[in-house]
Amino acid sequence: MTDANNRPQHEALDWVIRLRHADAADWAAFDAWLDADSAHADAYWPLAAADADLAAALAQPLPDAEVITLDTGRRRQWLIAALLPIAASVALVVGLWWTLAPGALPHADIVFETGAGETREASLPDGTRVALNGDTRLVLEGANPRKVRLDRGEARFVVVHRAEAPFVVSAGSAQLHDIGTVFDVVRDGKTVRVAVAEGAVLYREDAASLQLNPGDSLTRDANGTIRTARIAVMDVAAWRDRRLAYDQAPLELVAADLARATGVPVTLDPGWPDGASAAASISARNKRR
Amino acid sequence: MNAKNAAPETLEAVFLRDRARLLGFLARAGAGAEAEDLMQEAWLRIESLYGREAPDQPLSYLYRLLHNLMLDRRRRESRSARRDTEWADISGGAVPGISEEPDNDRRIIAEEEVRAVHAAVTALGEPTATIFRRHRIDGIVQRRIAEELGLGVSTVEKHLRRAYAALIDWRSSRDEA
Repeated sequence: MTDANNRPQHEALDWVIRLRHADAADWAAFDAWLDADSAHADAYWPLAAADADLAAALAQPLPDAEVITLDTGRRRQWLIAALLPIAASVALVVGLWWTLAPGALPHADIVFETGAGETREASLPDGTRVALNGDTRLVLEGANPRKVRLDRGEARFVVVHRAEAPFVVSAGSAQLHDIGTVFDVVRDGKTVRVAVAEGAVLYREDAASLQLNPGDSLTRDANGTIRTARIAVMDVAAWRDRRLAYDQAPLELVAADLARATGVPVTLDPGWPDGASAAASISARNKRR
Repeated sequence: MNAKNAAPETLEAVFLRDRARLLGFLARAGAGAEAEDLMQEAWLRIESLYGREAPDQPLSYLYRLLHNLMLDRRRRESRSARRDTEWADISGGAVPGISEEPDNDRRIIAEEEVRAVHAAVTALGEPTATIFRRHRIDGIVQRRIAEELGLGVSTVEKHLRRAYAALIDWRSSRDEA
């Protein structure tokens, strides 16, 4: 198509590219080009259509990811109905315990918190090591040292595995049960991302559960849709090396990660297409020293 | 046109003032008998935006709106002409604030097709693939892509040409197959 004697084709392709960011003058020039030869419009539209088709397909997420929709609405109702009597008796027991042991205060929660741009490493009472990325809040629920809650941000866990007492991270409505593991969790509101470097993690939400093995990553979006994908094990919690690696990640997610890691507010340029499910391969290296 | 720093003119005002020019554009673009109909459709779109902030460049906005409406029609026609995989009708994004009318018969794109397109982009090699994605998907202007990658604008332009040419060729050959 690009041979020199096919000039309308050649020029039409230039217009397809140029009109992506055209001001009124560009459009007027395009109009003049169309006017110059009726063959120009014939050359232009098929190219423009092919381009629009390509863009439509590229706007779709790359389907190497398996998409699982957690259709648990009905099951949850059933589950609640089944659990209600149990919950009632638990409440009763707890109530009894409270009245029988008035001196026993509940263990205070331990809160680990970092500001944006700040990272921190900590050891939990059971020997599990945790690294916190910036703008993160992790709560160790006092009563059970094997249970932590990620309120926001990102944490990488190297878990001391104990078969009789699984280590559980809760993030919103999701729960992660370790099976002897190094894994990374990000929570941003209702969105949760998990990536596993070693061992395995059982992802649980409502009645659904899913095992993640090394190199597996999972994203749960705000609507509860879950996607799994593969990630290079080296890239799990790459932020600890001041490195952020992405493959086809939405730009909003990249912006949130950058803000968390650097402490610098990152917003998307409003000039980017509205609502485009932007997928870009970005690998950023933060050389701050 | 309007003075700098003044509030942009409303789309309606520009549409009415430049009606003849815009109608001429459609005729020159080959809209034929459909031109008036497209103008009508554009007007309805503009009306539906009433109360929203006017775009900075109303005239180029209107050009793009008409261009996209016409492109959509052509794509729909050729789609019904060929009984090929249905591509999602997402030509939006080019006109901020206007979501293109979704086709009722729109289906989810066959996974294989999407994978094939992504693979075709990757097959362009680097930095061509990245430059193309930044331009076509992320909507970044060439000058900024050049800055990001530390390349000259003319180099970015060259890569873009190559990418668009190769991909459009690829896409067209699939249609013929």
